[in-house]
Amino acid sequence: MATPRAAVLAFLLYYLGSALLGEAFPFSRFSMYAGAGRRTEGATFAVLADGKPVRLRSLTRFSALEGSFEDPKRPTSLGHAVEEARGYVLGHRASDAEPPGPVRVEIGYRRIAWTDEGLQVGDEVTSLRCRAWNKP
Amino acid sequence: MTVSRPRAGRVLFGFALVIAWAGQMHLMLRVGKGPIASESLLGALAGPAGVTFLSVAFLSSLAAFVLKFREATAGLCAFGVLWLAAAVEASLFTVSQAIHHNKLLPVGCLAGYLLGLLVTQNLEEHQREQVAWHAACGVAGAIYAISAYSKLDQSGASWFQARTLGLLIGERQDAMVEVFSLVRRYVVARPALCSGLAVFAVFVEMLGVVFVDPRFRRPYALLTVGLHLGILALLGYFYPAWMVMMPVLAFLPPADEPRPAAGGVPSVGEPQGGEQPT
Repeated sequence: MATPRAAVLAFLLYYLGSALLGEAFPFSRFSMYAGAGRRTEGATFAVLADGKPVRLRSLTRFSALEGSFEDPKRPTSLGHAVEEARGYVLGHRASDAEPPGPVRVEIGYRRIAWTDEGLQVGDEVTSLRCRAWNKP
Repeated sequence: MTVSRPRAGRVLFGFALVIAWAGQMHLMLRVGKGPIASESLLGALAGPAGVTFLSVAFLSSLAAFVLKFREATAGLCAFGVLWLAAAVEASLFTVSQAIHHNKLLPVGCLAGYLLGLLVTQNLEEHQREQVAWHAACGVAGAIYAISAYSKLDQSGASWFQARTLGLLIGERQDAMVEVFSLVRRYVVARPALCSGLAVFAVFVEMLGVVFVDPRFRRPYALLTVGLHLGILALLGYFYPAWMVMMPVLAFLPPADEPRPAAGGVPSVGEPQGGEQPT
């Protein structure tokens, strides 16, 4: 069976379109973590509720925010998770009249690095503290 | 204008798009109205009412497309809604404007399919569907190939060093699913395995070019499903729409000829067994 010309042309069109245009829907270079080869350090992203790791979406009605969602001082491939967390927290804030929730929330990072001995895990850095309620 | 019973491949092609759509809407509702979306039109579409409106428009267009009711027009409408939803989704993110990738392979395939339809208006209907299907396969192969290109372009040979994948996995080693944490810690502790997996992933993506040839579509589709299972386990990225669309494109293509219906009249859109790789 001969290779269908339509498939070849569509392949070339999408490949070249993506290479030239980049992120122009529906084209994409699917870069994501493609530039990760330059890194020697990184950072995990963690949400703690009363000191224990939890899914952020198990919490709601956030209040008494202290700090920010600023990116860690080291590059991480989890920027999308930070952005999603920012949108979730700011989109689920408690009303001004409501008292702070009972759950103590810490959002932050743990630094990691790759050395000759392999992966090294460093200090935890809390960038945002707040209060929240557990979802019913 | 008639509506024919769709073959399984068309239904599942649509199903992959529905999966992608559901994932996108879930993400939009999960993120909610972020600080950028606020009071803008895009922000209004990001809430539950907007998601409902977009979903009704998309699903009705997609159903008409699958049923071949004004196929090209319905497909273009579905694509237009997808484009609008992508703009809404992008507005929710303040730093990265990258659009959630889960939908891009099915949407790219739909775009290729529609292009194939639009440039073959002088052909018979079953021939148009074949050309469109091949075009969708070409786009799917290009998506994998461009992913490999991005890694080599941005990271070069350093992509294959153990620290690259080691750091990516290490950032995700505290997974909420315990078995994933165990797998990730096992891999991170073995630098040679990290390098080997990085080479394997880029190799599979570069092979995307073989998807233009029907003889290689089935084995390549299975290979990509394996690749995505590995990506899910090690990096936590779950692309169900890709894992459905690739096997559908490979295993359920349109028939070579329309099957004669009762009375000997050809009925376009009914299954005939599909083309077989040789």
